[in-house]
Amino acid sequence: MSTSRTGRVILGVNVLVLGYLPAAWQSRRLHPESFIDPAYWHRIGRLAERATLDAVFLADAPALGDPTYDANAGRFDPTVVWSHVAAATERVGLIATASTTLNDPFELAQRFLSLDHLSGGRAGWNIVTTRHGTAAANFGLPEIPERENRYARAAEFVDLVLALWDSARTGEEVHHRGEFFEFDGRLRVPPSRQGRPALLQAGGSAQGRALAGRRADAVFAAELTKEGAIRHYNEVKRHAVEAGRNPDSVKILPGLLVSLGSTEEEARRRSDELHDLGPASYSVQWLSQAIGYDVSKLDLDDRFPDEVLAAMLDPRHPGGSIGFRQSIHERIRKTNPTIREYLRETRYTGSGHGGFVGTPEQLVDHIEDWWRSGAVDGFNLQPDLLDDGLEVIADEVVPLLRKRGLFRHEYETDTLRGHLRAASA
Amino acid sequence: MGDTTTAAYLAIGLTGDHLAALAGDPLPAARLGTAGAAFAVAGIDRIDGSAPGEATLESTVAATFLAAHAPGTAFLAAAAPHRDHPYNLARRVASLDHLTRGRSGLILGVRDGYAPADGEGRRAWGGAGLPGGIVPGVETTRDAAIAIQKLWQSWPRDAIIADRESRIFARGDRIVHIDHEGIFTIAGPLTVPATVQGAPVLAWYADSADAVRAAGETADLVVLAPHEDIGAAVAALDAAAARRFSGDGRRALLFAEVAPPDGSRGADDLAERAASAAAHPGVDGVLLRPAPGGAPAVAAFVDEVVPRLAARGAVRRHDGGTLRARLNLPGPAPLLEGARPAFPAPEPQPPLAFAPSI
Repeated sequence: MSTSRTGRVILGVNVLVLGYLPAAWQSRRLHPESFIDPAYWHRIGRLAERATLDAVFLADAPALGDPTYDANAGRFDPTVVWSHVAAATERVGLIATASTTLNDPFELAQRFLSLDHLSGGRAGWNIVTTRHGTAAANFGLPEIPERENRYARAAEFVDLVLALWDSARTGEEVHHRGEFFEFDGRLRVPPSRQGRPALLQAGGSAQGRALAGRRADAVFAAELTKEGAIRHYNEVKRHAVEAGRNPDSVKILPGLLVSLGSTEEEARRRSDELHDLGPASYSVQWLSQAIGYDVSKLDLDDRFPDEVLAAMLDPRHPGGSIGFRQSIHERIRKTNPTIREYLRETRYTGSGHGGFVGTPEQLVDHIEDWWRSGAVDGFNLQPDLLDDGLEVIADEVVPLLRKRGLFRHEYETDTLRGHLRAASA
Repeated sequence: MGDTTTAAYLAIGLTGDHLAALAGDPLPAARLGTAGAAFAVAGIDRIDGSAPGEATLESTVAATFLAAHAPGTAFLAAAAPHRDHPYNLARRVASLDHLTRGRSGLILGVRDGYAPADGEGRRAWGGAGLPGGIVPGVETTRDAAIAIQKLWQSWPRDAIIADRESRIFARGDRIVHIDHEGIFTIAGPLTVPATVQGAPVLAWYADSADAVRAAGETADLVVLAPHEDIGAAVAALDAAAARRFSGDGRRALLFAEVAPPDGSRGADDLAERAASAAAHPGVDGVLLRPAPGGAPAVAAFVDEVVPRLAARGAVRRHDGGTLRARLNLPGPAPLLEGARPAFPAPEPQPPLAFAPSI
């Protein structure tokens, strides 16, 4: 482990509406309509800024998941809710996910540069290609195009969006002729304080990492083991160098599911309780969806069959994000658990995204270890319950990081890209 | 509706340069609330057929940001189903309406003046899988208006029960697909529940007889371009009431836009013409634009034009509250009776062996 690393940790919060577990709505601190309450979103923005976080982040797909047991299914458009939060905050970065498959590049470029302008240069676009078939049905498509096609479109889409953002600055028309788009025109949105929105990339497929190395300011990664994280970290940085970029110009920020308590036991109790309050089938369904295999058909006391493990890594096999599948595969290979053991263990260690259950001090140890090991540039924290989880991050986790010299005491930069760049100074 | 009161509603049309200036310096935006306007349109020049101005912002994000700084002002976001898909548009405006506690709506046009012109081989809607593209026009806007209003009703607000005992958050079986099949094909449901005013207000900026007719059949409110004949529009909207797609038999509210003064004639001339349009039988409101010139022009409008309108008794102040309440508009007629449930009925979860501490 390298102890000589300079700079500081980057910290964001992935606002999975009320918190990443489906039972979050049952918190006594919330009311039935918190998820659509302007005051709730105002509070989240203010808390993130109190913690001097680099950014708040919203995942997205333009389709409704089943909200029967989970209020987090209800989702505002991320650019609109961040425009609301922009009015209540001054420094925190505002990262919105949007699909290159289910948007028009001109409209998206215009909307994100508008958010960037009105927030004073704090906007980021998390580029996704969307893989949910239910979203396709909202756009007149029989199904979502397959991965290769989506990424080919995404690459051209991103190039066109960047050209349009340039056109807003230079006033010169874009003339684009490509496989997916033909376009003549320019954007008439005032450029923002950071010039253009920061770009983030969240997919863990080979194409996704290549796109990230070429274009992204940061990667929202999914890592369950430090070894896997170091390998992927180096892979993206290598893509950046091959594209003629400084490896520091792309930051690696894996998601980290967190349940915090004043003792490790209290944290585990909180996590257990939140799992037990959720629908009984939550973990089995989540895993089935992620790996594209109905786990409820298996005996939970058996180990994962070889063909299920092999299919997990095959990009042609249907299922969730390749990045999630790789991280799940890596974790199973490491300890070869039964399915029941895996589901129990991942309550505390995460599935897809890494998980952490413990005290603020232990979380800071974990962040420092991964950061000094060169596995990450920071984390996108995903509290089990955001309303009080974000308070603990602001009042306990961040002060501990500051004490160790790993985080700034106050904002020193104004824009999202400014925050990201200053971290490696 | 317009002939039951003597004074008309006031609406303010903000153009791209106003939006860009107010977003950079939002304090003057709060002054909009003192004008007593029923609503402001964010980005009216986007949909009025004019050439694009030097600067603008996307309407839904601009309206959301300005509404947070101007808590007394209701906003209609201006857009066209041109490079913007109805599902995305419905979702952003519903989000805006929630975040403003029911003070919002959408005003549609047929084309987005800031989007590049379409021609041979150019796609209007550039989402994946539609190589032929969708051609902007009155029929496309009409279809989008219908699909959007269905989406706004696809998740009834009272489907949220948030029952900690059974640990059921929502009656998923009361949320429905819209299964819209028109120029656009949209399954739904929307990602957010219905808003506090039932649904955002749906308006249409009409600058042709065809548009007035289609708007009368589909919209809550029509803003009539200044060059259009008011008498003909009143007659067309009256006739359209019986052909409403919702079957509610209502006549759409009519707001007449009053052209800005040309050159030397100033605020008095504008106020005079606004008062005359407001007094026209069948007119429910007038829409006026501040002069070009960013935030100072908005302030000058509030300080100079609005008092002159008030002095003539031409406009009435609203009583606040949701946009529908301000306009005396009822909630939307139900559009999705008998629609296909989107999710299975909930099953109560097994009883807990512990008392929750969260």
